[in-house]
Amino acid sequence: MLRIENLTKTYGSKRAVSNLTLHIRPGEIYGFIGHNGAGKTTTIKACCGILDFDEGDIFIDGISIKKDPLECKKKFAYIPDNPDLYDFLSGIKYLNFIADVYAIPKSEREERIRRYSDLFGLTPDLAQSIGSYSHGMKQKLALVSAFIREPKLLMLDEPFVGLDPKASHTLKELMRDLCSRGGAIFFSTHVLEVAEKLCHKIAIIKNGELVVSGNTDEVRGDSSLEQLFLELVEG
Amino acid sequence: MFRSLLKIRLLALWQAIVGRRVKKRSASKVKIVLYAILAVYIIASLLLAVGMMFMGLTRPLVSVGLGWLVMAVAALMYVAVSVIGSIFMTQQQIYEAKDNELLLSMPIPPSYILATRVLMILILNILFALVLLAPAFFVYCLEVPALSPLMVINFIVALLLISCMSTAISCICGGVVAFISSKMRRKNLISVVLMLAFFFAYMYFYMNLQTYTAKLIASGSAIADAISKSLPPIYHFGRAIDGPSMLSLLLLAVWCLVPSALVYYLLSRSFIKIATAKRGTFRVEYRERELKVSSVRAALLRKELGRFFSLPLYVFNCSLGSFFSLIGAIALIVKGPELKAMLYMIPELRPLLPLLAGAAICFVASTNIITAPSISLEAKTLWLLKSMPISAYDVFYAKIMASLVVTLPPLALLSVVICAVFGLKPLQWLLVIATPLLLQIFISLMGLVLNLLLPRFDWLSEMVVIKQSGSVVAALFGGMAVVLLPTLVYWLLTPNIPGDIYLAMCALLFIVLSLIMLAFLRGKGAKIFNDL
Repeated sequence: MLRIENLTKTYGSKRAVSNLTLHIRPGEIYGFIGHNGAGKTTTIKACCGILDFDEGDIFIDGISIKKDPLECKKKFAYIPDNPDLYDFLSGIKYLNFIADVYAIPKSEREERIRRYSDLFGLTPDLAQSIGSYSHGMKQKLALVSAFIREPKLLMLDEPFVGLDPKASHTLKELMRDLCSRGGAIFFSTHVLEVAEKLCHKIAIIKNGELVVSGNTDEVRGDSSLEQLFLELVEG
Repeated sequence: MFRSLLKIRLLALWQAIVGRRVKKRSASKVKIVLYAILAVYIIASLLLAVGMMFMGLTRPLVSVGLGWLVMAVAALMYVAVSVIGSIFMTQQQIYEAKDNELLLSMPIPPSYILATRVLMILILNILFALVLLAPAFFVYCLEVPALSPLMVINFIVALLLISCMSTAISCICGGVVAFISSKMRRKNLISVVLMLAFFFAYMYFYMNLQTYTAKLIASGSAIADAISKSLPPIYHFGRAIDGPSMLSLLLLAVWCLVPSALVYYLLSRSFIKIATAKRGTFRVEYRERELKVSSVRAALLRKELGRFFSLPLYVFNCSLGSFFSLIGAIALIVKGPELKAMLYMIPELRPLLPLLAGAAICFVASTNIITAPSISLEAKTLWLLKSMPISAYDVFYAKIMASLVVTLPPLALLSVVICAVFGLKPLQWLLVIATPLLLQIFISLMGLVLNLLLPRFDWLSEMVVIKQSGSVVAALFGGMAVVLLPTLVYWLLTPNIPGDIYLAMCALLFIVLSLIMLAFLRGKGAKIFNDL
């Protein structure tokens, strides 16, 4: 579903991501772990076509993001670590705007908005302007806007930050559900316990370079993910 | 601690005036020189305009012994302008400051927080005073028979004192505006209405300035008597300088400092309550309704219009021409026949009427620069547009259409009214209506191109982008140049070409310029957007 081939991205003379290769297959939840500034956000943004990159290529469902970005963007949904949305729109107007952009048919959009907003407990607040939302509510709205698209691939940057325990639980359930229907999820996180329990596969990145990747159980071995991460990052 | 806080406030004020600079991208020397020339030009124009205003007033009043009235009138104007100019700043800095809660959580005495905020507004008002009162005093010095050093000292002290008073009035008015807007659902509408009311009151005053000056000279004694009785601080301001009277200076100090201290005391007593008050949280329960389905472009257009109407400053600063068009059209319906009779008294003007009308409407159109800050305003939400399956041209299309939806109908209305009032021929109707509309299309395209070339994403407040960013300044001056240059060319080089034909040539020029801009947006512009 997502194939990152020898991705290299530099900012001036600094190599933010160096020769990174990852494959995320349908049905997989892939965790992306690294210290602050390791290159996680840069990688995810490059995958979304937001950031241009210097070398390598990224394929979404077999299509190169460099060659046909619009076709790729129809297949995934992305949520950044700090979702700045259109504060001047109300929640429902924002969701309808997203539904228009992704050409979701009328009956389906109404049903999906109802379903996902209810799941995140956001329905009563949909008439409010986004500017009045808390960080957590914005995060929930961004998640609802991602799920109503029913994407094949979901790319999330620190999706659990700001979510209350119930919303976190809902998100995990929805992630599993999406993957059980053949979708794939690639997400970065600092919450290692979540990664350990939720991800089929994980990749650890350090200073822009891939340190380890593979099945969660195999990567972790007998130690905890936290122990492994500290050993790899400090080592 | 107090100094650190004050430093941060002053830095914020400085950035609000000149904008935030990113260290990595050091400005070129040419750019710095151009900005410096522009700043000197604006300040010099302001000082000159105020100086000229007082030129005609000072000599007659000084000659009849009413020199103090000159400074009193200057003080009155200053208080009005500074209060109007700083109301919204006061509202944002004291009553609705975003960092109030953060600062209150730190070990900083609340009185320090308030004092630094009030001091910043005072500094802003002193800057207003320097622009308004200093040229008036300079003109006064030229006319007064015996200038003494005490007059200059008293002027400086009186300027500081009157600035304290206008700061106190700003604090009260800012509080009233914050209170009213907190009780209203349509806050943006209130802000736009207030801004327009202040602006058109100012325009009305400025347009009738000569009449007021004449009245002031004709009935100087009566006005002086009224001011001395009803506005003691203004009276003592004039007397303290003109005397120079130390007693008046002392009384001015009492009139300015006592109310200011009282306002500060009241504010400091309720500052925590003000700073932590929840404003404007009108809770509207969502009720499911049928959702409207639109095309991608229509959805993007609605989003653009939503942003435009949600920012009163954006509406006010970038679509001034639309307001002028609407007010002009109404004024022409009422006063049109009078104006027509006046213009028809000069027979040479009759054949030039279509050209004059076209130029006037084009000049109005040149102040509509909605697209110029539209890319910069995306800033933190740019990720949304860039991660969606939409092309850069879809984004441009929505921004240009939003600008045209807001600006074309009022311009067309003004053009139609002008054509009807002056009884133009059918072909002239077509030219007078089409030329400004074509110019507006070009300005919308040009504004977008300029913003792509001069984007600014490091802003903390939309005000910086809307009022001071390079693309906005360039679009405003560029638009005016596109109107003024053909006008000058006609006047100086080609006055023998019939007005109608020249107007048609201008329309053709605007079409060609628009096509050039469109080609740029479709090619290089899209690439620039994708690389942002």
